[in-house]
Amino acid sequence: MQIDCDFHIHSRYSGATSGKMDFNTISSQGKLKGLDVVGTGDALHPKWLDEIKSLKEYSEGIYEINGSKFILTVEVEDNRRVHHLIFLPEISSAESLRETLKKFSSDIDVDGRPHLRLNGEELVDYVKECEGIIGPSHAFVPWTSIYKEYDSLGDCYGKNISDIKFLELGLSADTDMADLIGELKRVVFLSNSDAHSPWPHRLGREFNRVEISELNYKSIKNAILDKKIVLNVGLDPRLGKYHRTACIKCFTLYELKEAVRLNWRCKLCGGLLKKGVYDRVLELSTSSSPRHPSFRPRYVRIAPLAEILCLALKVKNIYSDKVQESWKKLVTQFGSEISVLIDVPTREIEKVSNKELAKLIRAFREGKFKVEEGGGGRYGRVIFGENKEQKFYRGTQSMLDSFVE
Amino acid sequence: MFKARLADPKILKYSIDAVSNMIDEAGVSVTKDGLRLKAMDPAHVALVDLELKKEAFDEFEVEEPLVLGIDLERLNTILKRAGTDQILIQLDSENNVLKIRFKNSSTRTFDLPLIEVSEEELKVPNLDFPSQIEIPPKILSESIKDAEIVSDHVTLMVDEENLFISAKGDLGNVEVKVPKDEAKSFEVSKSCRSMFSLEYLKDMIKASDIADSVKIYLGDNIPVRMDFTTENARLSFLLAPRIESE
Repeated sequence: MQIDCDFHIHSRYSGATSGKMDFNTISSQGKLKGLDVVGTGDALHPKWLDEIKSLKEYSEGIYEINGSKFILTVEVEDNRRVHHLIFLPEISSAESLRETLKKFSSDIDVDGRPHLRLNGEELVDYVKECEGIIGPSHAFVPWTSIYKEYDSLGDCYGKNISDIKFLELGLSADTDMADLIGELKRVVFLSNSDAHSPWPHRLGREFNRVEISELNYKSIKNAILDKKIVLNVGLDPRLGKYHRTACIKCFTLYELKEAVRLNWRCKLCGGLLKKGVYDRVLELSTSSSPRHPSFRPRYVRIAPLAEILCLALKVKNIYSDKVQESWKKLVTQFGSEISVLIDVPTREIEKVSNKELAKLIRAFREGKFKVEEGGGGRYGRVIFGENKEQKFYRGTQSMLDSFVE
Repeated sequence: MFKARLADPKILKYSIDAVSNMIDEAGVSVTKDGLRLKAMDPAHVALVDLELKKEAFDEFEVEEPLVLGIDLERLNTILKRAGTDQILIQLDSENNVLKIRFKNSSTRTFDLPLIEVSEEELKVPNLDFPSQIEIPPKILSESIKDAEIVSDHVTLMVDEENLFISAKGDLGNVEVKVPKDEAKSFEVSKSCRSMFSLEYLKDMIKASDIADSVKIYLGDNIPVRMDFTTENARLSFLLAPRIESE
């Protein structure tokens, strides 16, 4: 059987998350999205763990509330500000890992995503003791990822490199980008949302379709180890706000060579140029075009339905009545947002909605749309017309970050 | 549960007006002590720290601490419609919106959808400032307006006797001298100067209308800190300097 899973979210106990990140809301919204399994996130946090314990055990390592299934996951930050995603087999493993890691963390009781005084290699040892699996989260983002800090998986995980079976792509990268890097040909790619709020334009905005024999932890773990991810679905990485190297002030895009030549200063405004994920991947690349291993599934670049509806209905606000009404109508008709985005024939969508929406969903599914690339901290955007002129600033401005010790 | 009432909307309106041009969205912490907003602009040039004590409100009730993800530009647009009406703010958790109600002869209610806010942690510089000068906000705001006539940047300079606010441009120069005696307090351990973008300062001085005083913390080519304070509110900015051309 195939299930749609978003393994990486955060509870309301992580920083900057919605107060509605509780199991009832995640469950109801996850159903509307069409997710079969959601990662609990924050499984080491004492209060969240208590809430996990109150869920019904559906099968070994799978917990249930209102028909929604959850698997134990947690994201942690290591001593080099690298984020890792961990899967755990059962509640007692979470409790045991929590006890072990407690002595390496000052915030494990307060932050759902704890900071640990451990490096990647040490962390793998502790996760293995609990029979969990671990891999890098959002591997390419410029602030808290493995590739902002290291040039290879081995530099981070040392002797435990062979235990790394998956890598989470994150919103700024996709399969085509990651498969430019030779060392990643042996690992499975996961596409998860890292959602901080439960609404369907966040929860499951990236997800995995996974082939499993039965719905339990072991089967999901084996699907990852045996490379049975059959579809990755996620945002177009070109829309990411750090996709291209760009000026953080005027957002002018730069080729990497040009940025180096200019000593990372914008020639138009003197602002700092921030290296983009695209160029970081090129630095690490071992081939000039993606070399996908045979097990690599298709990656569908899609936007949340509410955002596509905004484009179709020509409104800006995803919370507008127009968008929300259309969203509800489609999801009620076809069962879930994922069905509408990925599975339902577009002629069926046209019958309950309009031609423009069907056209846009088809364009997304077939990758036939244009993007104004993001960079320098500004999100890219999907365009169906002329590029908007970029905004330019004047002056040579320093950043507050330069004064942080 | 969170609700608050302000009979005089001025303090909230002006604070958000000063902040919203710099910061698009932010997490506003609500505790029993009041509201706190701490955020950096997307370019990491300015940091804003706004504190509105519960005493600034005529009524202030919150059950447990919470963080509200606010689109500041939209909030500012709504607050601009307040006029002199009484403002009531109430969290509608079920619909994930903040209800903003203006009450006068009629009652107008705006729903502000709450948003997800960035997870990025704020890295705040820990700075030693050799100079601290407190002046009436009007002097600063008028000086910034003077500087704007000739340039897009301004130099703040201080010596043992005076604070100088000056600007140079193709259209001419301007210098404002504030003698030590005119300052409310004047602690200068060494002369120092830094240059700053007027684009940011223009927004910051919008806070002048609510403050009784502004305290300027200055050093050599380091960020400037400006604290606009009143009895029940503090709006603090940290602004990175411009690097002077070689």
